[in-house]
Amino acid sequence: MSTFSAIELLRRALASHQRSMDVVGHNIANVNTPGYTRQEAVLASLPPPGSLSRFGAPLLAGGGVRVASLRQARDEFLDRQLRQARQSSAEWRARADFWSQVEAVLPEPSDVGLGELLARFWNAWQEVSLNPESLAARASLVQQAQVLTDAVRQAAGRLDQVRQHLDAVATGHVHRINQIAQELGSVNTQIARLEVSGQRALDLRDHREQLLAELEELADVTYTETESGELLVYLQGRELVGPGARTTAVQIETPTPGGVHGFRWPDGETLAVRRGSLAAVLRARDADVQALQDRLDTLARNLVQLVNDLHDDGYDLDGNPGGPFFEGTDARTLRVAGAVLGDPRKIAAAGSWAGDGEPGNGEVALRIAQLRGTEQVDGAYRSLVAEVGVRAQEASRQVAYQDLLRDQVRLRREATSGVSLDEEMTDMIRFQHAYDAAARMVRTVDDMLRTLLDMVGR
Amino acid sequence: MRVTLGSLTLNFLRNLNAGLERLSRLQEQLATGKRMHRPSDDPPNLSPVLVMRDAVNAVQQYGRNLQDTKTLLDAGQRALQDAVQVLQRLRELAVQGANGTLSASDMQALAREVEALQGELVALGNTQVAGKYIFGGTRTTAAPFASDGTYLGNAGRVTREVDRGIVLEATVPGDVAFSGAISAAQALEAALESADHDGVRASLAQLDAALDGLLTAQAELGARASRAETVQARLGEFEVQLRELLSVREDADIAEVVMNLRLQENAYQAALAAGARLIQPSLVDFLR
Repeated sequence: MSTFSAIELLRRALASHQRSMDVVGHNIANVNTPGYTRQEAVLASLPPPGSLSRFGAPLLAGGGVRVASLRQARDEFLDRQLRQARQSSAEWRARADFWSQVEAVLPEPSDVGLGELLARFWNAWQEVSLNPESLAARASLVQQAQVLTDAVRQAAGRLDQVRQHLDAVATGHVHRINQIAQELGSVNTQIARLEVSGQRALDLRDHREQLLAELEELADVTYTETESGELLVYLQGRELVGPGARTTAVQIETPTPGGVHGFRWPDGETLAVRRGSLAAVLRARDADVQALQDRLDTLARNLVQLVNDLHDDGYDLDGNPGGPFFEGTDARTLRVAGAVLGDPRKIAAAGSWAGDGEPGNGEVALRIAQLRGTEQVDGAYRSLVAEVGVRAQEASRQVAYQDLLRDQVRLRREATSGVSLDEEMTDMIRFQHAYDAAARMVRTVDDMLRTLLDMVGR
Repeated sequence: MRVTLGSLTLNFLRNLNAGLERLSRLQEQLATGKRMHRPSDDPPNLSPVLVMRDAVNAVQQYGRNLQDTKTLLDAGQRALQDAVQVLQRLRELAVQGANGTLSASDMQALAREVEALQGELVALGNTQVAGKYIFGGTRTTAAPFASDGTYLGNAGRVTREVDRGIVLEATVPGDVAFSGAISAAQALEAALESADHDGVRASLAQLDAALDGLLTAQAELGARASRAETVQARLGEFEVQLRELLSVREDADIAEVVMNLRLQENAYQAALAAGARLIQPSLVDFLR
């Protein structure tokens, strides 16, 4: 080995360690970057330089060091597991969110819920049955009935708001899917361009992994990677991201007033998602809210029918046959009938009106009060609330469970791919010392050269 | 397993959050004294709790119904009691009037008193409770007896529910209770007025029949009142039981909650302390 080749070897050592130090710096810088995968400079010793000695025998000393490649501490299997865990977790979280919003619409057990208001409504009829001639009792019944109908309408309105909220969330999700598809397309292009030269586009792949994970949280996409390193993503059999940054965007249709957005593929097919938070949100928006509203509507209709049927047969305080007590065909339109609202004397509390009148007859009021506990109203409400409770509880249990699973996978991924500052610090010192030593050796070689030159120059 | 700052933080935040969530649940329970605040807190228990809450509401209403019924029954009994006394006085007067030695003017004087007593009977028949005439059947807003004793009410039943399915009548129609007495008094008055000794004697029988009618009505009201008492006692007991059952299902066990709260607080603080010690130092701190 010549003295000059030693300098060249040391130069490479300095450069390699500097490169390693760069990687340490990169790792430290990204210690908190979500989805970042720890990188490592793989050092490899160099064979002796190709030149043979003058005597034809190879020299045994090696040629120093080089950075053979940059490696990511990635486990594809763990990444995939994590994406799936994140998908389940996101899906259940969306469901739990929805059910807790529904729970807020039906706060039970409480002193302000519909259950309590129904009880007070039936009690008010009892009071009228006690003193049918009392205008105060009648007025208080009208008021109680109004409070009840207001609450039913309000509950229906709140469910509507929940639906609107879900619609906004779903629209946001679809926008994001389109956006991610575009980003994936452009990252694909960059990766393909970089990797054509044979090196791995490590950080771009991290970025793409993150995008894919986010996409999988939203919907059940499938994907394959091409030879050139492009990731092709499919949703519902459509090519969301195709080769050459070609993407298919889901079309968002503007809703009719009060309606919800429609989501379609360019070929006209409606977007159908089976997993992920978008699936949960769409299911809640299109099926669950509707089912709840239907049940509330049925309850309101039953209330109207049961009360009105009895009320029709009664006589008001002036001996006129009773009209309807309630008006409306569903929860949104349920109201106390205008006539009764305007004049509580119109409440048909009496079961008969003989002779000079029976203002003290409260038979019909009593019969209506005895509707209390009927399966069609009270029972229907209780089973509605109970079901909401079961669904909400299941969802929040699932969220806890899925989060646990996700975090476990995350911990395992972190164990493989995460940045440990202690490790990086150790590496830093290691590389620093190696760099120091190499630099010192350069000086020594320099000294050696000077010694030689001094001899010549003398 | 390789442990990184990321995994430490992840675990730490997880535990801290879980602890905080438990703390907030317990705190909610402590603040309200209730175990259930939303349908999902205990779904299997929810339906029974709602049924019981409604039952408590209903029992309280039945209590009010009973109170109201008892008020009417008591007032009715008092009025009938007074009427019985009036009839007894009428009977005394009739016995006096039947005495053949009385002069026509003495008879007249007796007739005046009978007239006054008859007015009293009419007034009793027009007894009101809180503005409600209790002897007019279901015609409760106008006086059931005209001053001449004509019954203007009807035979309608004034009913109220005092427990699920148990319906009591709170009044007796005035024609059953008073009409006999009033017409007996009128007959007596007429006989005295015309100094008709035989007529006075005849009205004695009428008075006795009317007295029987009054006593029967009074007994009827008494029987209902005692039935109301029985129901009331049972309802009171039922309400206590119901509240106890509801409390078991719905209320938080404060002692237990406080204990758990202490435990969770300690766990939470320990987690914080451990986090503070664990997360802070790294090799960086020692490379000076």
